[in-house]
Amino acid sequence: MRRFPILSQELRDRRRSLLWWSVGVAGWIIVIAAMFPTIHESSGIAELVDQYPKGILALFGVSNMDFGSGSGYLAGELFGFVVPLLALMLTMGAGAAVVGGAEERGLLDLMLSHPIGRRRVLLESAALVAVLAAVFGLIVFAVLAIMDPIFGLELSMLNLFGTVVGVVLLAMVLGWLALVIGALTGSRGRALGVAGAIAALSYLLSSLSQLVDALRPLRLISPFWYATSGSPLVGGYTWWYALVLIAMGAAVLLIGVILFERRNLSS
Amino acid sequence: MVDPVAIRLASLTVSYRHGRGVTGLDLEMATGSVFGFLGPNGAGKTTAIRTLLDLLRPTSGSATVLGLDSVRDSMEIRRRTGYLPGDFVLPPQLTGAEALDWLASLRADRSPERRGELVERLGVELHRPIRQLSKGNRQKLGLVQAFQHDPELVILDEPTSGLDPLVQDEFHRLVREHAARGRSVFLSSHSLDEVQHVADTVGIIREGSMVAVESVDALRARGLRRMTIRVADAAEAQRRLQDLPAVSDLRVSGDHLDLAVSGSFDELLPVLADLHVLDLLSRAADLDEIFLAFYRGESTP
Repeated sequence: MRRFPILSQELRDRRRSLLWWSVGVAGWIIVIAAMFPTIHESSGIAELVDQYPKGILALFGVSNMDFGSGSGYLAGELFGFVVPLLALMLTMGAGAAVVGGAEERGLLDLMLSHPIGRRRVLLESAALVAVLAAVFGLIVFAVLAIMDPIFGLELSMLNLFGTVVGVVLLAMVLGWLALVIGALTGSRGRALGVAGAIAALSYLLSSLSQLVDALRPLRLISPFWYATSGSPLVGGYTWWYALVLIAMGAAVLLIGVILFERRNLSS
Repeated sequence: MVDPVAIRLASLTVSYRHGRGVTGLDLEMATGSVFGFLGPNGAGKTTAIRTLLDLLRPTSGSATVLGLDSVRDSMEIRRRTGYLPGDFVLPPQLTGAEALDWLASLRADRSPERRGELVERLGVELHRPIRQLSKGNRQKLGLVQAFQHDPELVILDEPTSGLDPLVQDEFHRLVREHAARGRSVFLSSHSLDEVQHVADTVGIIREGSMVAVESVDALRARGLRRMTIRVADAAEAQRRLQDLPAVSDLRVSGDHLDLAVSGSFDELLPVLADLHVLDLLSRAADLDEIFLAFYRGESTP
């Protein structure tokens, strides 16, 4: 028996798409980073951004927009919205497909007629999501670390690392959510739909809570808040937030395992 | 020690959303035998089979496989059984060999020699992506994966769908050899004609309930015969024949009467003698007809 039969097979199936995905992400980041010197030098753009209503900027994940520094620029251009979105597309897509999608395609019956437990299937799938999130984080970190001296971004490597950790854990938690919803509904579409709606809501909660006082307490239930709030690339990541994200992920998985073990699978 | 009962269902009821349930199923299948599980599509065959593998949970009652409880001891059951789902699919991007490797990787025990033998006997295409294979060629891969670890019990849901007749014959030999070595095969089908060649025992399920479980020999020995007679006065013949206990499924077309006769001809012959029979044809009913008799609820077990 292979040590992790589900995980290794899924990784093998995805290696090519993962490679191209990585190339795309790296390319995007390089383009954004390469634009920094130009934008940095033309003060007009910074003034333009200053004129936007704060609410609009917050909605796009941009608070304290500051094009004067590489970290402020990247926090707005990359980490406010695009990088978390790319990470979520990767992990939620895989999470929804790996069990819910397998059931939908009729593969789960065959898989689970072998001596492999449902818990094992779910946890190896969770490991797949975590590996994908980590690979994504590694690429983002590595590309920016290399671009940093080339384009004069002057990033703090510790802050960059913390920022990436936040995004990786966020993608992992929401990927696990998609995985669990898929495993409980047997439908990839439903998993993506429901988990996607929850992700969008938690994004809005996190960003709008900075503007609407009534929403402030609710930010505490949003995984986005624990990953991206306060521009960690500029101000540093609040490390204990990582524990909150891990706890959220563990809770999702625990509920998933308990309910998945008990349900009747559709043929 | 080998349990003498390979599968035992005790008042098994499974009801679940979107699914065709089964109610109060009782069934015993002897180790070392081939059991044909028969019923039309939607009768609950697949529901019962999937319960054996813990893909579905009993609502009440129990399913015991190789002496093990279907829920509590599922891992052990799945280790010792092979299964071909009714709607067999494999990841389309893999080749046959890759798919078989992947499934073998979910088990501790594998036997490359055994697989090689099966692949050769069934004529399996191993090196093309599954998406390019015909239904029959995919189904052959399904048979290989169900048998490749030489399990004590093989559970096959509609195994011959899509197979061409030559491969079906080879499959029947495979099933017989498996049973001859003291191992068991449980297979479902909607065609009795097919199952009577391989099965020792046949169980018939209808609308989620067992209608009958009988050995194939006993079914034949029940002596259901099909008779076609041509008479001068069909209406008179119908009137006199329809009340005889041995006669069932009586149909009239023109001067022909078509009927099923079970048991002895002792009551029938004197009546026929009176009827001015012009022509008479009698033959053993095949199992399909016996099966249909069960279905109409006209047979007395």
